[in-house]
Amino acid sequence: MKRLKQKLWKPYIILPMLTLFFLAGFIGSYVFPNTVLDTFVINMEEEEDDTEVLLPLSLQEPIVYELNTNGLPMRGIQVGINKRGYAQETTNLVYCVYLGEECISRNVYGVAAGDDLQYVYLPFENYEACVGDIKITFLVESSEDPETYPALMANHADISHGKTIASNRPEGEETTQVALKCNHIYTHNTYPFLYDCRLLTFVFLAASMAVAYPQRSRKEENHAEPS
Amino acid sequence: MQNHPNRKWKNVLYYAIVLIVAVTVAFLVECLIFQFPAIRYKQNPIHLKTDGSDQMVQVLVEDELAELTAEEIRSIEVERDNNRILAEYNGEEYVEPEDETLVEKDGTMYRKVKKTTISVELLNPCYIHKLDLRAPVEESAGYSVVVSKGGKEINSDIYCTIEAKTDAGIANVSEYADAMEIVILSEEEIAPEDIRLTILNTFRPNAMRIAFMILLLLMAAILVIEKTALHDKQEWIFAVVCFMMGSLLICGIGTNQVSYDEYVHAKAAYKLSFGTRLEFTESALQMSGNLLPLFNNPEERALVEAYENVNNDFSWADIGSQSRFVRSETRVYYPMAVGFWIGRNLQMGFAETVALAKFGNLLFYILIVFFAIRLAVRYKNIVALIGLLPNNVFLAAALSYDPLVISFLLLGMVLIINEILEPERKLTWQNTLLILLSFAIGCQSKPIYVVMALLMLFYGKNKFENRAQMWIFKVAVLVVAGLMVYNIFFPTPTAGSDYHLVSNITYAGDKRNVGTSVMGQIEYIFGNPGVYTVLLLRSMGGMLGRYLFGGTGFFQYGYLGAAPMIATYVVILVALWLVLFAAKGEKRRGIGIPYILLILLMIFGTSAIVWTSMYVSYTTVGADEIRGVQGRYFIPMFLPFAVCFLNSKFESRLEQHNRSRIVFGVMTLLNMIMIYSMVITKMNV
Repeated sequence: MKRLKQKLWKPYIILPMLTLFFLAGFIGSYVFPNTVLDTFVINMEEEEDDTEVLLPLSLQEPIVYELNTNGLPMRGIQVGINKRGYAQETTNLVYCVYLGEECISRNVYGVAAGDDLQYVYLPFENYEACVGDIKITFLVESSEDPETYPALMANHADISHGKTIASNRPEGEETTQVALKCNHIYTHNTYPFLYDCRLLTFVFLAASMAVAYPQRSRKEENHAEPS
Repeated sequence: MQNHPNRKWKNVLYYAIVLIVAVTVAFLVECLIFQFPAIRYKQNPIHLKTDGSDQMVQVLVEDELAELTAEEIRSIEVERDNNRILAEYNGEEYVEPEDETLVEKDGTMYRKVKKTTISVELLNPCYIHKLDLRAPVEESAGYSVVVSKGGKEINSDIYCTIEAKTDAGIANVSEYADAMEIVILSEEEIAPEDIRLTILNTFRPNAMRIAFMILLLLMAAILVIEKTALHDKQEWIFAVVCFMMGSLLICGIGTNQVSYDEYVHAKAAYKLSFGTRLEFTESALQMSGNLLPLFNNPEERALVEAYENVNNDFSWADIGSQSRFVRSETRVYYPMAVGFWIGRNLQMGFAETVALAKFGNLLFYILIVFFAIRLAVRYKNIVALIGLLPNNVFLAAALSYDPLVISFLLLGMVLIINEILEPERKLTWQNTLLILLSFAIGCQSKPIYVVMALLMLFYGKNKFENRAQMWIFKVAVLVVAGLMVYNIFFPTPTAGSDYHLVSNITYAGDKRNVGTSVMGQIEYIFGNPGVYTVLLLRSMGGMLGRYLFGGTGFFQYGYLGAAPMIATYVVILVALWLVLFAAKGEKRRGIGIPYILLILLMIFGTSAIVWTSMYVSYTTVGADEIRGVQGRYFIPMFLPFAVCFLNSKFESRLEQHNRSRIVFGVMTLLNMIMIYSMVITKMNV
């Protein structure tokens, strides 16, 4: 082992090895990118003269949110769920993504977990298909009293990135345009080691070449001569 | 060999004596000279009542229009333009907000303010060392003081700010007077009964001034005593002197943000000191937003630091998250991030934590320049001179990545020049690695300087063992430089919710200026190549002329000010003398005409790229000027320019240690004068 270590610990061994290591990192960075979430803040704060609205969820009448993803596959949505002070032990939020009339992603979120007011990230199954003009519907599955069903947070902001259609409104809200408080969630690939690996590949390549193999051969020959 | 321990003990004895003398002298000078008024006119603080119950004090409140400064107007325009861009990006209609406090009159912008005039007639004249004014204000308010004696104005040049976060503004007056008029301009009305006014003249020795005097005497002693080190260990002298001056700057400036875009660097370093979970205290948030209160004297400093400590409570910190992978260009903040990390984990005060972060930067700068000086062959003094340039020392003692850039580029250039000076010596793998890594690290946040490394493409074939080594080395240098430049235009995607905005070249441009657009400016340049060439050459020549003949001091301590022109001339003369004349008995050689031409070409090319980058990213599209270029951007080119003058013809009569004394003496004196006039007197007296 010691002999192997001594043998390997030579610049003309270690430098090319490091060059190859960084070359592998360079290639590996492309092959195995790091995928991260992107949060696009759409409508999370009220203007000065605006107020928050609760959009009650129901078993039958969905709250519908329409948007265009600008060609990007949408990974999920972040919305505000208000449990209105009830435990909601048996309540699930069912959210489906429609492309045209076809449901391409049906998902369920257990409302019982989390705080009374929670802004949760709701990921989409089969998110790769959630591209273009899509429609997200929100319903509940519950055995609780309908009066206690949770609500989604909204306000009256005029937003251009999404349209909210909700038939269930609190009193006095029938005629007013409402907008779901939400963030759109997308993803993109990052390459954390790409910059370093591609740079260091060439740095160590240059250093490797400075070890000068022909000179080493000459030195070895010189060493060999006396014997 | 037997004398060696004796010499060591002799030096220790010398320094012990010097330290005792320095401390004694400093205390005596402070107490007997600077504190003389407090001893001569000994008096208790005089509290003045402004609620109408004191016959000596009259208060009048009225409306006033205050003219906005050009900086304030620009700031409003920049904010509006950025909001417009954001609205456009979000697909929203931009509506310009109305500010009812602003008034436009005769083409000038004014702000509506309240003017509170306090007239004070003292029964007996007294020495007013400080005027302590406290008033509850929502927005910081300015006030001016006119002091009189015997009905005659003796000083009308006193200005101060009532800081909204501490509700206090303490002015340095230092006048013997019997009356004064204070005029406060505030956005809101201040009730007279809420104002607290105190005249102070207390005996309080100034710690910063004492430290300054002690270190000045110690540095003088080092230059006298350390003959051997001045001869062949100049890097150690540099390290000690630079550390002392940097420490004075760090301690003197405190949390005042007076360096270039310091809040941006502070935020990046602070974030880097965490893992994936960020905890921004209120003080840290204010530091990141350039909103920390400023201080101008020790009394205000105590109030500011108390405020910062109260607001540095992690129990109500703003929690966030960040990617576990650090962006490559952010790594330049590690020396500062380590300081933030240590300070936080040791539960130190906010100001002390910031100071630790700055010390991290200073020590790292000293370390790299230390090796640059040590490795320099027969031109150590010029490297030490560049390392001690006031701009560099100041930035090393601030929150900035410039010291890392400058120090690594200095090291890289030293190694490149060493190779040029010895054309027959083969390029070793150690030097190859060190040169390329120096440039790779030094150019991480400012990639355009990598152009300087292209000088290595002109190494002769004698530097290489064989043709293959030569070509692969040169191709590698070219690829490394190319990749760094490529990364400017096509940065590797990173994590962050603003990814699509920052990676969208349509919106690229420095958001500190109105009307910037990278793509728009590039189109303009290609559309008007002749016009741009004239603008570029005119700008470059103009700046050079201003720094050499136009009265613009090159040596700057950030926003604190610049040294007078004479300092520029003195340093240029010393530098020319160092490079033109070798030390007595020293064998030198020049770099040769071809390399001189190449270096001059490289300097011109790099300068042109620096100017163009600022035109593209920082200047309004099609503007007839190039904005944002500062003299410090050219510091990395000083060493290659200086070595063009190296030669084997001239020899100085002075030996090496005396040359070093002159270099370190001049640079230390210059820095210490600047520290005293810009840091000690402006913030610590």
